[in-house]
Amino acid sequence: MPTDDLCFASVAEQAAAFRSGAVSPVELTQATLDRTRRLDPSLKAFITVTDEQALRDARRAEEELRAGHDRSPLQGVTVAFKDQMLVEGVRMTGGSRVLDDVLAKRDATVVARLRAAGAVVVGTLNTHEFHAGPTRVFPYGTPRNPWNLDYAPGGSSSGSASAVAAGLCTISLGGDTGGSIRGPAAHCGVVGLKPTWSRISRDGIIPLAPTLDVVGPLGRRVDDVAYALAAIAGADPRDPTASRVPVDTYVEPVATDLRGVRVGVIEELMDPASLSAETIANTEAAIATLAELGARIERVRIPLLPRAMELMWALVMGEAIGYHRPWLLERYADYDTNTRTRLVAGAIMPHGVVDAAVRLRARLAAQVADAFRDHDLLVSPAAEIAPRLPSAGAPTAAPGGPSPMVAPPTYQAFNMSGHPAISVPAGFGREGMPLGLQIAGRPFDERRVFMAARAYEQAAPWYRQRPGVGSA
Amino acid sequence: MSGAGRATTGRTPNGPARSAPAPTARPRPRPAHPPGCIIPLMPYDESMVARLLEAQGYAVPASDLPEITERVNTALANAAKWDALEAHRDEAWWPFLEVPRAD
Repeated sequence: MPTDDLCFASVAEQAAAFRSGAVSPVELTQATLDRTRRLDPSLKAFITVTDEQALRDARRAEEELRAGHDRSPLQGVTVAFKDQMLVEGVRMTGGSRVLDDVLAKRDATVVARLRAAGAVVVGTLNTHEFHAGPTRVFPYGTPRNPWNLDYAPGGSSSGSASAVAAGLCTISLGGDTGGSIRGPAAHCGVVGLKPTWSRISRDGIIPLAPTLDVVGPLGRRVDDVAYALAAIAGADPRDPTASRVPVDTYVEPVATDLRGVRVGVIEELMDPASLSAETIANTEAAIATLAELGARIERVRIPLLPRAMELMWALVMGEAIGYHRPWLLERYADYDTNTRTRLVAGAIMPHGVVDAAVRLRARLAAQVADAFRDHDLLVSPAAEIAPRLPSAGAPTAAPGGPSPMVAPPTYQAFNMSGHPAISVPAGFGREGMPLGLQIAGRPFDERRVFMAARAYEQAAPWYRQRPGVGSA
Repeated sequence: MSGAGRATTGRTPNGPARSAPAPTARPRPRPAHPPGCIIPLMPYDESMVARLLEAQGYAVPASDLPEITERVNTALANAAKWDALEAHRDEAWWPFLEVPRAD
């Protein structure tokens, strides 16, 4: 198998190749590290590359498979982590100079579970500072989009998306408080899942807003993300908020039709005042594909949804300051200006604001839950195309579209309510930049979300296209 | 509490009349709020922000004050809009997550 094809192969393809002897875990890991050495100086997807440890992990995976010790389909598969998760022996920076001298003494639960599954850890990934975003000056390099280096990959899980998109790892983990997995996934043309709040342990992970934060997987294919979720989901004695609801079966044969599935299209997110005609048209095309597969499509309204982003920021400001206060007192100047002004604003914000946000959040969450009474899934655009980097000049608006500087509130409602939501590649917009479709499901019903996403992916295989970075 | 009492005009319980307090600065005029708004949230100014941050021990450069002030005032303005939606009058708002707790 050519090296590039190996780096872009799915988990299932890599697992089959390892077991047939066509390719070894060491070959995959070496190809991945070589590709990272070549491309990451431009992409800045990684903060730390753990090449020596990765090759040791790969050799162990190879020996185990040869001896018949088959841990899981993820054995020998390369994985990387947003630099907010403890990875034993590796510095954890949170994307900040504040933590530039912290060495992790143990793995976070999600890291330990992927290691136990036999995955090969290749490094930690670039992120907006303390996943608060948008960071203005990245201390570990400005992350770039592999589809066009003049564009950002989105955030805050910037490296988690760009590394997967560029074939620098097969799976990554990110964090999502207000869209920070789904946004970068959409911008980079990969799959990204925000699971049900409490589905995955958050032990060993720097928090932002605990009532909103989740960890989630990214991959190039829906099943890659499903394999990762199966490995990391479930109760954890180290995290009392991790649910004991049984972990479902997430990887299944592709459903060739969606007959009987009731899909609600969120009207507020198909509004030309909030999103460009290009993005809306792209989403309509994706929805038409779901209809061709047999899904019953209806419009649904969530009237408080336009308030979701401002609610999110109020809650983040209220919840984040406690964790950061000791560092802000000692090292205020080491924070990025965006992060520190947002955090200390939260310190002096009247409690009445947070109280009002909590109450309105509850009503928004109730409206989301109501929308699922008559629908199995809700869909919407995942995002506009990725933003241009400031160094690349002013962004160009889509004709007749809203300002590209104002992000639409496509994600936050599901953070407010706790429902799972996935972004899957759904085509391309202007300048060849990826677009995504967001599919949301009922709490702990990731299985149905994957089913629909998988069926759509088979009918519209956008994953076959690869970003230009690194092409001959 | 024994011995405590409200001071009467011009005289305290335990002594001669006190002189009238020195005149204070005129309070800033309160902005109008939308009908139905129950949280009177006045915008902050940079000097207020600086004092509040100093009281909490933060060493914030003056260059950060405009942005911090804007962030707080944006939140205040948003809260006034939320308040106008009368969410506080909704009695059935907790628990807000449909997600089951750990069993």
